[in-house]
Amino acid sequence: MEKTEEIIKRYYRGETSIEEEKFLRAQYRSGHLKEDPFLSLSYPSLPLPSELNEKIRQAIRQQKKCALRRIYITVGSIAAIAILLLSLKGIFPAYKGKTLQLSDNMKRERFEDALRVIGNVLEKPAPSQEKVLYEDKNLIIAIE
Amino acid sequence: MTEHEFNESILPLAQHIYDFAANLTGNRTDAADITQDVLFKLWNSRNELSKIKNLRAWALKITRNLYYDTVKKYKPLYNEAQMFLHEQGASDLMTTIDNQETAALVRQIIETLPDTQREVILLREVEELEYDEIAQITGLGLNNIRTILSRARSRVKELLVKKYKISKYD
Repeated sequence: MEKTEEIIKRYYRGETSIEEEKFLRAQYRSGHLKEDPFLSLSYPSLPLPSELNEKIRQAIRQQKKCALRRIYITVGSIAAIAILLLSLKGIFPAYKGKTLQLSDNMKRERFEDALRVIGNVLEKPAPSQEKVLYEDKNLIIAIE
Repeated sequence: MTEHEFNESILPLAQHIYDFAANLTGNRTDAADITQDVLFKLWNSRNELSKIKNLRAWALKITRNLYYDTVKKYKPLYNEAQMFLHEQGASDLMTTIDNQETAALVRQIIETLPDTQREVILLREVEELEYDEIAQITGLGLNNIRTILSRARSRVKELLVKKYKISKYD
């Protein structure tokens, strides 16, 4: 009995183990600890609603179907975009910029023009015919 | 986690979740809704469940959090004022009191306790969880849990003895 009293004191201090609490409840149910009505506390386990587990399973299956559907839609969209891009490429062929087509005569004329310009640049200029009328360190007067 | 593994390891927790939710809410319909929501959450996080050591405590933690997210809808089944209105019936209660009725009375008193005391009592007395499991669910410290439990038990006993003048329990 002393031991039980000590356990009860620790019980109300929150210091007992689960096994000790089970022991106290068993003592109460067998009529030994009527002075501690708290030990009568019991919550009977309630029956689960019968359809609960089935509802959960159905919801899980539904979610899996939705996930698969999203994957199909994503893959289908990507495929549709790819097909659209390929078909647009077929309708609008690649742009080719215009190039200048020169005839052989035109090429020859342009080549001769280029040579003439180069020649003009390289040619020394002919000495100019001029007569100096006046010259000092600041001024030169000359006529051609 | 496959659907089969989920059905084998998680669905059996539905009873614990439902009992805890029913004791928190006092309403079986709401308890069923909370239980469904908890199981959906567990399904959606099934890939992380293998890292959790104590699935039962984890499920009860989610249950508790869901209850508090909707706690504005709920109110205690009884409050002290309502109980005292039934004082006239207390004498009748005394004469016919037996274990079952005492248990019902204790449950009624527990419904009037503050939320924290009530949930700690439910987790300890009903779910028979260890203090560290209760700490994991509630986020409270171990010493705090012992203190709360002590106060709650003492308060219930005090109410039983003093308010209802149940002399044989003096």
